[in-house]
Amino acid sequence: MLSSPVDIRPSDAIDEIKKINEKLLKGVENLSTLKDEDVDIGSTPKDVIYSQDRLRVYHYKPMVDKDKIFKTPLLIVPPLINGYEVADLQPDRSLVRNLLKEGLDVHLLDWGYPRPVDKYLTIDDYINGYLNDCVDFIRERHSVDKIAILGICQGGTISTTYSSLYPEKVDRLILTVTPIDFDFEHNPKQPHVGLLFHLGKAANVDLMVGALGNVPADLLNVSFMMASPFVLNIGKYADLIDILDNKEALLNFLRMEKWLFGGPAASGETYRFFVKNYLQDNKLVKGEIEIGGRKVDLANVTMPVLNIYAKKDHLVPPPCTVALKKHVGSKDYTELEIDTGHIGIYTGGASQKILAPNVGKWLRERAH
Amino acid sequence: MNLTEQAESMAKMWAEAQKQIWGGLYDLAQGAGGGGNPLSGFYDPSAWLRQVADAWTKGGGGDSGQRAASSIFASQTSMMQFMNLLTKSWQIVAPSLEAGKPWQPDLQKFISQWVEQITALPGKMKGTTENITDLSKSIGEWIPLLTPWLGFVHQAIGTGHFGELMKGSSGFGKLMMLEQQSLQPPIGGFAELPGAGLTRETNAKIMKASDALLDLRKAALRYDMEIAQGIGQAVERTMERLADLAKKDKKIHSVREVMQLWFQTADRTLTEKFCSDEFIAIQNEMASAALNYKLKLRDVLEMVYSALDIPTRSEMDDAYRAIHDLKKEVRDLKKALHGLTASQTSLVTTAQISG
Repeated sequence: MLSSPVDIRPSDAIDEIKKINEKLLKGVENLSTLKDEDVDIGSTPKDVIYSQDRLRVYHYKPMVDKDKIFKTPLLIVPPLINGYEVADLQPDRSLVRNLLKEGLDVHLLDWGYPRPVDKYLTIDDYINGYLNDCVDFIRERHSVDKIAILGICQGGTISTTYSSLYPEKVDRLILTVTPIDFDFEHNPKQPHVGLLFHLGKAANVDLMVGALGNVPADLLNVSFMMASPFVLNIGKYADLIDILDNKEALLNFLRMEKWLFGGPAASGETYRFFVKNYLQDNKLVKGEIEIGGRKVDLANVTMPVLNIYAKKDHLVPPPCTVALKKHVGSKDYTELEIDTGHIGIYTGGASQKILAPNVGKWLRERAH
Repeated sequence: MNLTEQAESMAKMWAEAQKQIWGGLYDLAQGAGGGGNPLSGFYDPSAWLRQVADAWTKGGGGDSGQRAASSIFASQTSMMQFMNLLTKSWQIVAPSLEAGKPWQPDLQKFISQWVEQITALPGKMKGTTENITDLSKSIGEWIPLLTPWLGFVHQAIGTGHFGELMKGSSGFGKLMMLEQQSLQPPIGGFAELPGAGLTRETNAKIMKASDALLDLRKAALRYDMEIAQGIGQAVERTMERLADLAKKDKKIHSVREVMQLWFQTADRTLTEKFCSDEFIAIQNEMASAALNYKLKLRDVLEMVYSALDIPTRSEMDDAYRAIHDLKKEVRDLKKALHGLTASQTSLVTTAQISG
């Protein structure tokens, strides 16, 4: 005789629910005592050394002796569509801190939050304007001809584009989970992998920018959430009950939430250009992108390149990243795979011991 | 106890457990100064929970804390709704499974009925205001089930707000209740403003905005139906997995395990759907309708603002573009000046050295 697979005794169910209610009460107490400033992200000590419009360049305080600091400054370039804090989410999960411990002279470009008045900012403004100005400022400040650049996700795509246009200013290029080739063959057996690009290919970006001006972060988040709608919208919060009574764990959860849902809108014209040219028409690998009247040719990326990707990245599947190898002009090209996901590469526990130490090692091996 | 009796027993147990959950939450609310009773027929439990979450966490944890609190309570509500659906489905599956008969037809019938409440809407959309209101109410009963996903999407396209969805009177609920009275104040009333009198032009713009709103309503409903069908498919797959476990005499011992099974199955089913060309077309249709409505509404507002001597969006856009172009010019000039200064300094240095 068949028996029910759901074998939950009423007393067990009630007990389970009782425990949930107790945790809820404790959690609510914890939540009600927290202040917004307790949920601090991007907290590694830093100075603002350059600003232009909404953009800021941070210079982080060193964490090693002066004589152990790399001579070539490093600039971290985050994506335009997410907050920079992913690189510095919490003290024990911070790419920035880990790089400082490796002896790097870390700078970070915070693009800022575009307002309606910024809707006409173009990719030309971002790359030939803002990014190039920041690089020039750091070069002058440190009296060096070239700097190292580390790109985060879309920030990596922008960094690669910049390196192709200004190879004379880039000493080393480090990319992390960076989309380069946007034509990903979708596998029905893994529907969530590459879903973001799959959906983006069909988006009516002209109508979107025409109606919205800047594209709100929440709209972009929909595409991220679609890869796992139930787990990310319900399951995650249901599991949160387990840590509600642990203030520190709760704070860490809230830090991630703050970063996830507090992202900047994307400047309309830049978003239009990026989606059409990079994502939909895949022009970067075809050598057909033109910015500020100049062709972006990946063969110009001749400096040493370290391309780091996440094995379980479903947002930017590894083939989209490693495609760079076929197109760059660099003879010194290295890949590093980390067994984690797209965000886990920056915030995952295991990745803390892999990402920054390998960047440090790679740079040391190529020190001038 | 046979499988059917076990299914009945499980349903009873779950009904009792739900009372415990709501009762426990009610006690918590009382302790925290919250009012009302979620078990009372006068309250929508979801709306009540949302109010309690807001009251509890007022000022706590900032936006992230508020969002998390709302989401925690919303997740509890959703989980209960899904458990209800799964328990009902299992009650339908169990007798056939036990008799060694195919259970899928009965379940599919049940799921179809469930989805039908939503799929019946477009045809009736052309009906009277009363009909739309009634139909909206019938959809409203299922909102907690659809909330987690739809909420986020509607929030993102500007038709609602995830947290607000827990209230029937705003967010998604509002979208569903978009009958004539909610259309009249924002659009129709503009014609009564001084200087924006009802001309052929104003009338045409107002009508276009009204049409766009109707298109949005239809497109949003089609989208919601597609999601509802996806959830129906996920229920069927979950039952398949439960039937498989029954055959293998494997057991699930907690509500959480049931939920984990459900989340995995539902995520897989929906992401498969999201990849299909058909779904992408429906999603794009909804997004386009929402954006188009925004544009048409803006046309009406332009007219009104113009009549009242208030800067319009297109005038603001012209100003934004001018600011952008000027900033660029200033940046280029600064750069040129910087280059010039640098080369002059270099010239002076060279002259000094040679001198």
